[in-house]
Amino acid sequence: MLNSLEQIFYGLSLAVLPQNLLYAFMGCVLGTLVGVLPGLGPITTIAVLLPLTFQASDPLGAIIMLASIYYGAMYGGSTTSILLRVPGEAASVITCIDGYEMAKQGRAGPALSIAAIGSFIAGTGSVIALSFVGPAFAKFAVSFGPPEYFALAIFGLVLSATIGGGSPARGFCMVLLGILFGLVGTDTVTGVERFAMGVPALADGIDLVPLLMGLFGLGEILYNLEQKGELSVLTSKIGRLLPNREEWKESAGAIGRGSVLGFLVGLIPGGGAIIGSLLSYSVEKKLSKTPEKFGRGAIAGVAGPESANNAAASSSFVPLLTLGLPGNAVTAVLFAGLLIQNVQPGPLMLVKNPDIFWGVIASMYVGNVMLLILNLPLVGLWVQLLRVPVWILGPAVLLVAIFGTYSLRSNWTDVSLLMIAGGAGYVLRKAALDAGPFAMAFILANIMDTSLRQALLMGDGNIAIIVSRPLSASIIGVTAVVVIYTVYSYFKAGRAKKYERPDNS
Amino acid sequence: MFRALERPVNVAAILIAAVAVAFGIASWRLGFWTDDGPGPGLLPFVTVCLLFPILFLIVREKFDDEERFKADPLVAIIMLCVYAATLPYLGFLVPTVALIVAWTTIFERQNIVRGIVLSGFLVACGWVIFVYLLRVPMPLLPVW
Repeated sequence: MLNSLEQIFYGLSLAVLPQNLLYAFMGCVLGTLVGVLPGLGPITTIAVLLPLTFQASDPLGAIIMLASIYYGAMYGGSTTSILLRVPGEAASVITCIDGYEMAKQGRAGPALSIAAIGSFIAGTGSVIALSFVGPAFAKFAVSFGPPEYFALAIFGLVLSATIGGGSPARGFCMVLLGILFGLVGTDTVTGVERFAMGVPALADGIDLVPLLMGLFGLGEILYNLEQKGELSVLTSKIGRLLPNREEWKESAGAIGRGSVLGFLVGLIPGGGAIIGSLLSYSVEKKLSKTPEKFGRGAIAGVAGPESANNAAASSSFVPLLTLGLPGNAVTAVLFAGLLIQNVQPGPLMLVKNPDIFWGVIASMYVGNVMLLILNLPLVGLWVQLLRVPVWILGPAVLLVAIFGTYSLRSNWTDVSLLMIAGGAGYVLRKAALDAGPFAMAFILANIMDTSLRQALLMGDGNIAIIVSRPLSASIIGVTAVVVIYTVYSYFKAGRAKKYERPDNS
Repeated sequence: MFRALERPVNVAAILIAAVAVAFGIASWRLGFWTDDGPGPGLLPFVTVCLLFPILFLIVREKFDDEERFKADPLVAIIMLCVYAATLPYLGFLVPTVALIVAWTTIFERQNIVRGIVLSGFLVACGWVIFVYLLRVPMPLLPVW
């Protein structure tokens, strides 16, 4: 406990260095700025802005900026949900329901401020919990061998394929495709080139950043070309900013419950902000004495989900930083950002890069304060951004993506890969195939392959080694239960079952 | 036959199946087992084998809001590929200005003057951020 406190203060001493404060501020502004713009969610924002962080003078500054972009986009996303009924990011979908109703009643101000305050409280609480849970996770993970890593990777991928609410068959399809593409390059065990077709640029594998920028960023721009139409902004009805006493009373419990729920959901691989906010909304509705108010402007319907999605955003850093396993698509993109900076996330990160681990965690405290300041008094300024004509936004984001991709390695092949991945991202989006599980599987493919083969070597070629060790056996057991349940429900529902369309933004 | 291709999921499934066949053949050639243990083709081959039945399932699924391909994004993809192909020969300036002008006039339905002004403004901003501030060596003009 004391040790964790000391480490937090060590992290704070790094986070408040002028250059790191500047990176955090830049990240918060950029994230909020892009997050406010409809159609551009955190994944797109981080993917498109990823090359900018490459130019940062030190890895800690770059990672602080990336994390700040993420939070900024989460905060900014709620603004468009409330004022436009267009979620700036997928996790704010649920905020649209009551947030927009509040705005229509002239209560946009309280809705916006409770979203910002709830996000601040949940984000800060979650970061404090992360400071204690993270090292415990890392300590535990040091004892993991190849069978445990293989089992964990399988578990994360199965959850990412099944947990999102979309068709599990499509989720599994994207996971399997991600594994195949992730294995392109030189085999780490034998040194043989796999699927590189003699192309030198593929010898080290398909580059992660142009791939993700194309799938999420460019794919989104192409998809948005179809979404024409004017947006009506309820800016004239923001009214008073702070909630009244009754609204505070209604929100307090929702913020507390949303924070705890979101934190726990974020720890689960495949979980994250979207599921956290959906769960929080249904919990609040169930616990409410006036459930009929939900859908008609209940402030708890904004406070709970917004708190949950921010808490989940913070806690999803636990599996990323301590196990080296990204739990969702956003952390998969952040994983790419860490690799660009030559930082390998995992249990040894605390030993090898304690400055980055604790610096990032401490910067989250600082970032949350900055975001509260940026989002509450300056909400009117962000709202003005919604008046930027849509025809300017598409080409602007496109140009940032192209120039940004080239700037990474001054390589034309990366720009070509960006275009191909963008086309693929559009086709996948139209086919309701979620790119999130693909990104996770792409990153985990080599970890899975290497750990599977090392495990088989340990067991003299016998796969039973994976189920003969207690921890890996337990993880495989839980995974098997999830798979069996999913297959059973899938075939029981039959062809008549209709699924939700995934949101890749 | 062509009606089936109106469904994006069918098109995606055909493309994924083609990719899977290519990966399957390549992983067979790599080998599943070596004298020292599991080979580099083992995991990819297992993955390909699992992929085919799943592809069969997804083309049978139905969505409430089944979407169709639209012309604009498909034209945009072709434009972007042509753009990427010309960059190594023409540098960034000319293809990027042409791309933004075409983008704003064709897809955003703006007049050509707005397109030219926007492209000039965005390319200038891009130059300031990436070349001037971030010191990225970007060839703006043709390289011959």
